[in-house]
Amino acid sequence: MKPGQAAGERLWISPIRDKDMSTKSKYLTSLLGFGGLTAVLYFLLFYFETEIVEITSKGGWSFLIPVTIAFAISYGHGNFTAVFWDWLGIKAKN
Amino acid sequence: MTLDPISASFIDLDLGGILLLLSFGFVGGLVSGFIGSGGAFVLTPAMMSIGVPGIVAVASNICHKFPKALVGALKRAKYGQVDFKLGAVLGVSAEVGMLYGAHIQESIKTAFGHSGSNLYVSTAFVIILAVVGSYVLYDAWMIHRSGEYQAEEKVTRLARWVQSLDIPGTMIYFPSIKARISFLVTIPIGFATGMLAATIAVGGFIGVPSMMYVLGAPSLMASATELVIAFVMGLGGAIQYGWGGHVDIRLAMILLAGSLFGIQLGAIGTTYVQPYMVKVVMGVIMVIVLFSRAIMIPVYLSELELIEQIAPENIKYLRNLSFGIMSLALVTGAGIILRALILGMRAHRSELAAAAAAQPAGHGPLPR
Repeated sequence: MKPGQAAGERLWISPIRDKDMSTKSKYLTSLLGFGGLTAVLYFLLFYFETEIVEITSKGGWSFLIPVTIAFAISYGHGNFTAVFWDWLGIKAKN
Repeated sequence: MTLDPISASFIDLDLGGILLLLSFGFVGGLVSGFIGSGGAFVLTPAMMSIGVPGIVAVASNICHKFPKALVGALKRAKYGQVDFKLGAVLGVSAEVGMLYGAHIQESIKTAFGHSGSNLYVSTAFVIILAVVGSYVLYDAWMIHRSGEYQAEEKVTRLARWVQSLDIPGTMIYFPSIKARISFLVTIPIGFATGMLAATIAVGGFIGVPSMMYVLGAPSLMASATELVIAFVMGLGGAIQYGWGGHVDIRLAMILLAGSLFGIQLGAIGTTYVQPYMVKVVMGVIMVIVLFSRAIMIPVYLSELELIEQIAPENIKYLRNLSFGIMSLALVTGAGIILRALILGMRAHRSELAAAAAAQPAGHGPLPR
């Protein structure tokens, strides 16, 4: 038995537990980071909805606004949803 | 929460409407993440059912489609399922096909009115879905009956012939197919995909089966690569409709909020299932949707006065029934995916537990 090892404890269990804890905390940090970014982006969209819809409904080069918003939200929310399922333990099979 | 009607064509949306769009977005995303497309066709009628004008519904749907496809394609690329080269080559010709399809739609609408255009769309839906959907479902059934789920997917005779063609100056190597294919073959496939996307909003019903049966791509690669095509087409469509001022970005982003949860889950699902499940889900959805469109054909024929008039209350009943069947198709597809995902995860965890039990103490970490 190695120093610090409890009686009956198998050596390979502890490192996995530690790894799980650190992975969980990493997921939580990413989840809060991307979740916060997504929330801010959606808040801005609906806070300035009058201005945004007024401009975009005129058409022409204003198409850049919805396209840019779509890219920005897909970045924040895409990462948030990816981490969300990982955090719940629903991960792809290796 | 209520969204104010800012422009004449942009509607007032209440909490019920928002929740409906989030739910449809989620289920649509789940299906798209798994089979590469097929989730969007119900979103346009869903938006129209809560009062969104047709063109704004189409425009907002397409503006939610390209970021969704982008996220799905990147996710599935992590699993090594995407052939970006094939997606880009097909996507460019699909873009042209979509523009041509929209032009045909416009011409039919000018010549025969709204009902004529609807009749054309529904007839295209029924014919294509009957032929392609039945074949996809038949193929899935044959694989199921043979029990050879793990076997390498059989390349059709047509695909072998296409791969054997050697037209100098036109050949491109595609990693997913592991063969050189002439772009003279990929152009009509992409074009047809785009035309179908402009007609029934789901190009993947042609794109994915074509990649599988005409080019010889494995079904998981075909469904993942379709997301690249959907991104290219969706971006082009969003620019086109955005230029016309028809995109209600609020609606598009509400749909996206739900659909990104779904597309991630659908993509994860592909790593747990046998490849033939892509064919099962696609075939089932196509065949059910076929009925939803078929029951609307008499309505359009009646509106064009080609058959006896149908009473307005019966028309309303048929419209609701059609929308119900369409939603049922999507929910059935999503149900099959979720069931396959849950069973796949359960089996995988049992394998891991068995491996851990077989692992002698002190012999390194468990497989993850």
